Amino acid sequence: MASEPTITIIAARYSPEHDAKPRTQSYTIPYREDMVVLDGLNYIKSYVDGSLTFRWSCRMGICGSCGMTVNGVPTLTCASFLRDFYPGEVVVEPLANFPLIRDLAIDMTDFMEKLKLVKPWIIREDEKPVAQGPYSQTPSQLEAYDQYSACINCMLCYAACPVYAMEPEFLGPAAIALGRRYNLDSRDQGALERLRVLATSDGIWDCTFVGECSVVCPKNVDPAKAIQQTKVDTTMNWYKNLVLPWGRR
Amino acid sequence: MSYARTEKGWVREIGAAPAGYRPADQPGLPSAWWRLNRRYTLYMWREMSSVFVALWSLFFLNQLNQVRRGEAAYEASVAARRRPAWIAFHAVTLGFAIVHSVTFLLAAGKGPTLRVGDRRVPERAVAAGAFAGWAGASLLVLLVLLLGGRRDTDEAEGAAG
Repeated sequence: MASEPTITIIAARYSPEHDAKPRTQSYTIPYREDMVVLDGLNYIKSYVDGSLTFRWSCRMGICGSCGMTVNGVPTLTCASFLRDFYPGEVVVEPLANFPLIRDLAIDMTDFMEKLKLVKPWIIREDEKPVAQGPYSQTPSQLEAYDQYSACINCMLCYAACPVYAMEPEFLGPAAIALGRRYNLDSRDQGALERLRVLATSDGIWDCTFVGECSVVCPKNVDPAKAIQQTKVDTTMNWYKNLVLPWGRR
Repeated sequence: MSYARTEKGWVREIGAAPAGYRPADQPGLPSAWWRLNRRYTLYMWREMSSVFVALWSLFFLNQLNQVRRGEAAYEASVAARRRPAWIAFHAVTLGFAIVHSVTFLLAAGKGPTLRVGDRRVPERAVAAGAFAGWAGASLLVLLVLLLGGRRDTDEAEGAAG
């Protein structure tokens, strides 16, 4: 009988109580062609080493919880098949640029704080009564922001961004993309509030357009595009205000 | 949340971390981070190319200054530019200028959203339009130079005849 195929997963381990710095641990597990990296980690957790710590939830690319660095690339582990690496080894590390809590789990406090700054919800100056029905939108009004609404807050873009790595004050790709998403929403009236956060030296102007955020984004949100478009818009507004100061807003 | 720079890089100080957690030192990127993947490397080439574009701009300003100083000064500077070192400088600068232009125009689609009626113009079409504009402008400059050169030759021949 042919022996069962196996694959080796090398996982980063870090216990703040015992380790001065992260180390790696190698696990050889049964391999099936339909397994994703997250399946491999769950196999280890269930049958080999219950102490391995990592985040996950939906297993279908919706929740954005299982982002890790797989063979050097920020990836959703539920969307990354082991067959793409087999028979080679798979090195799984935590997302870069975030403080490490344990093993593969990072502290996302910084991202959550920055996300709140851009107010990723619809802001209304004048709320109409519920009795008047919902705010309607045309397909083209929806299309204006639809791409940016696909963000699942997985933070892969932050892990891929060298600017965020070097300047932690940078608002970051996902927060800016979500800010733009609401600024482009025809129902929203909070663009000016958000621009006070977005159009700053820690916001869009910190971005040097490396573009890696858009490359690793699992939902094709294209945060780099959101940032560049916001740069263009704010620049145009600045010139408009200069030429037509009476139309200043 | 606040930050502090240490010998290892930036450290994020978590104010209200859950019990049992402690912030780990976050070492900065390795100094050769731009070699981590091909796209980072291309990005650095793109950024570096702007240095050469700036150098050529300085050279061009200097040329304008020579024109301002008179024909003799300009002719002397033109003669100096025929030295191999200057020709090499121009060759290298041209290479970097092309890198800069190509990478800049490839990113044109990430700029303002263009629409035809209700439809958004695809990024590739915007980039293709930018390249077409570049080619058109280059042809125009080439035409002006060729026509100007021909006129100078005709005038020189007229004066000699």
